[in-house]
Amino acid sequence: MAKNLSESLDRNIEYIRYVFSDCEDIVYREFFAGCKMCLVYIDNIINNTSIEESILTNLMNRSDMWGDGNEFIEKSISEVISVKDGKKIYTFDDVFNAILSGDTVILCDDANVGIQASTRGYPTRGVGDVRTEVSILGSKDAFNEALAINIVLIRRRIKDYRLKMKRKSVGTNTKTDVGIMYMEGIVNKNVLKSIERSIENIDIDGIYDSGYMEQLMEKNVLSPFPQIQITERPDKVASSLMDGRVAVVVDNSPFVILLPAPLNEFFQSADDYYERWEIMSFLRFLRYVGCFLAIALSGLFIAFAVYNPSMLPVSLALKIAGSRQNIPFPTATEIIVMEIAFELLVEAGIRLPSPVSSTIGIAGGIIIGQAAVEAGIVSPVIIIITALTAICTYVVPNTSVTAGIRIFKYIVILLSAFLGLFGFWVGILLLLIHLSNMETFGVPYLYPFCSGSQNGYSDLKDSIFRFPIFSMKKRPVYADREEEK
Amino acid sequence: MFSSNNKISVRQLQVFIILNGIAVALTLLPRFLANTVGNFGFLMILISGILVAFFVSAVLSVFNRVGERDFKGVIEYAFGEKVGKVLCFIISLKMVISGGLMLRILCEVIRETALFKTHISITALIIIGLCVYGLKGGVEGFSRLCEVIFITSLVPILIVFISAIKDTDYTNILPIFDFRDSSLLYGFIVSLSVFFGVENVFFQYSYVNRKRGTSSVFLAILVLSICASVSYFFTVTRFGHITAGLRTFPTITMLDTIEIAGAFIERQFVFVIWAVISSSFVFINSSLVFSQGVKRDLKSTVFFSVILFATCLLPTSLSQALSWFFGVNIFGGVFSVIILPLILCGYILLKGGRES
Repeated sequence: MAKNLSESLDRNIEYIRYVFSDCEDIVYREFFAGCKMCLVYIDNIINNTSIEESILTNLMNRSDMWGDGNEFIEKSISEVISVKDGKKIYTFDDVFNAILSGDTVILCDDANVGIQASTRGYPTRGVGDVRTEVSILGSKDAFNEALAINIVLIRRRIKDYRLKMKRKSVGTNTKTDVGIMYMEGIVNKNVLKSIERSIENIDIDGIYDSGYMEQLMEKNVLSPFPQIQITERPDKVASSLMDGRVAVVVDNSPFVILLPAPLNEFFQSADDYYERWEIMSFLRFLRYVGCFLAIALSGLFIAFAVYNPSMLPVSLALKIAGSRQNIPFPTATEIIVMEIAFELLVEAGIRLPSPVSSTIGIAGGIIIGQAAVEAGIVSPVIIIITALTAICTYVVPNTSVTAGIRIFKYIVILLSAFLGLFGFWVGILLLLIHLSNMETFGVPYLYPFCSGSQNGYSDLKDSIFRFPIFSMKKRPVYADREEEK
Repeated sequence: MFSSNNKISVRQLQVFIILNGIAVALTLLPRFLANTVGNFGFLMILISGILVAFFVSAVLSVFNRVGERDFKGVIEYAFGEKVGKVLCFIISLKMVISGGLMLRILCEVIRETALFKTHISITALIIIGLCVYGLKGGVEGFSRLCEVIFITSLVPILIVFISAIKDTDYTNILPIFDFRDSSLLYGFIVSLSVFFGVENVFFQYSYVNRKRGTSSVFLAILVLSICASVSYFFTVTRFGHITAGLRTFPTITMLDTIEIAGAFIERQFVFVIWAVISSSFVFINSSLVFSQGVKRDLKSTVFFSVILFATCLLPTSLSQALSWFFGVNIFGGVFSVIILPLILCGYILLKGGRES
């Protein structure tokens, strides 16, 4: 049971000092303002101006205030302290939570109640530019690590009282603030409940980023495909909220989680809606083709070249055979080696400063590739296949999906290497079975390509092709059915 | 929302029906039908399709009278729990045996076209493995898979058929009415093979989330019969019914050898084999899914998978597998698709349906 504050200020301070022993960033500011008082806060995560001007100055200037401790606290909170948010707290647990959250706790002698005054002032960077979901048109501002700023960025785009935000605390030790945002009346209540339940069920000592939440909320943990979408674009979050989706804003993370997240959502980029529908439909279609090629091209090449060369036009088959004439390795080995070499290049270049990563790109892509061909270790066709696969892998606007694509690519390659064209189709069938079995918070993962009839197939208008905006009258299936755009 | 409730949509039921039939129409039907009713076969499929559509719709509309009961529930309602369970088990067994024989036929297709040296037991095990993995998603996951397969396999095949319009010899279909050497009744029974999966429809119908599917089932069976008829028509116009009757898989050969203008690849076999593998997979997997019903467990999955595998390996040759397939489905089908539903309908109508 939570321990209550006592009426003795000294005893309260002593207990707080005991709990926060060896925490030298905790500040205890004792003073007299009609009675003996003390402010407790953590240095540097509070707003100094708030404490000095709204609390200390005001309290010290009211030396005319008299009364017993609890009455004094009552008067202080209603007449003296001018912070934006203040409330009474009664237990030590509340005191500790308040201090650790960046608020200031005001304690007073002869009072078994304290004041939690909102003085949060975390150091934070300003609103930066979008880095991972760059668009040509559209806004450039991106989320940052401060929950409050991220919420503001969303509220700025939806000026509607139905935009709700529920706050929760996740992580037994980190007590990370999490905001669940949704549009009341548009969101499907069952989906919302399911999301809230899965957040409440998270049992971990620390949440440091939305990536943690993503992995802990996923139902199908063995799947390489993401069942939760993360974005750094406030405009994307706003439009998703209007579609009936739920946004989970995690403190300390510049990425906001969007739920539910069927596969189709990962193929959509902000630009799709900012530019004309004809060209964007074509590009959307290309993304799907690219995704299929990324998974299938290498495996299909092995199946054709090794097992069924008669499928190819004669001239092409001869060309491939000619280019492989003096190559010492089997086709499958060649492909796997080149694919892994590419993965290593990506891994090496991704976390390095850009001048170094571009050097690695040049060294790997041009020098090693060209040298390998000239040395007769790999054939030029394999280089083309690997390069095309690599390009196609990153055609999808959301990088989370590429993980699934990359893993299934190797499964298809191995099956094709052992079983030819049959193995290739077994790989594709395996992928389809896997994706068909998956759900994201009650929505089939392959929606709207399957179960599309649930919403009269209207969601297909924003899938492989993006129809004109005026023709998209209905909200997606995960929204409350009664409302229309 | 709309998942995890073991329910499927009417559209998914239609996709089931069509894919199950397409598997038979691409692999078995043309050869047997060409040997019985020859050129008249494409019309025979249409006629039998219309009859089956009317019969199935009538039976389903009677079943609708007993409320939310599924097919197994209706059987138990009519025959009592014990007899009902035995009957359901026999039907399940028939479905799995039929699935096992289809598996054998698929394995033979793969051995003849793609994997010449691999033993069929390996191919069969891989497909059974896929089926068992597919069970993880239950009826819903399976029906979603069917929807995706429906689009991905039939769109390329449709393109091939469009090309077939100009790359065929229409005189081969003439004379259409020439029954001198053929048995119409036997031809009719053979043409029913497209609708072998119809007992699956009764089982699948139990999972449809809104009981307004009788007209949809009627439509789906009609569409299937049109598809099968078109497929047979182009097979016969391409080869003539005598040659078609001599080839093992005439429709697959026909689809593979049509010249598509401007195609990047020399032969469209890559798409044809996908249509064959995926539609046959749906046939085989549906036998495994619906033989077990909602309450699936590891024991029954292993039991039915073993039967599937054993049935696949039992026939000594492809022709034996084909004749067994027809035997099981004609005789089994007469009981599970005609006699049993008729008895059930009679019982429901006598009992007064909803009141009972």
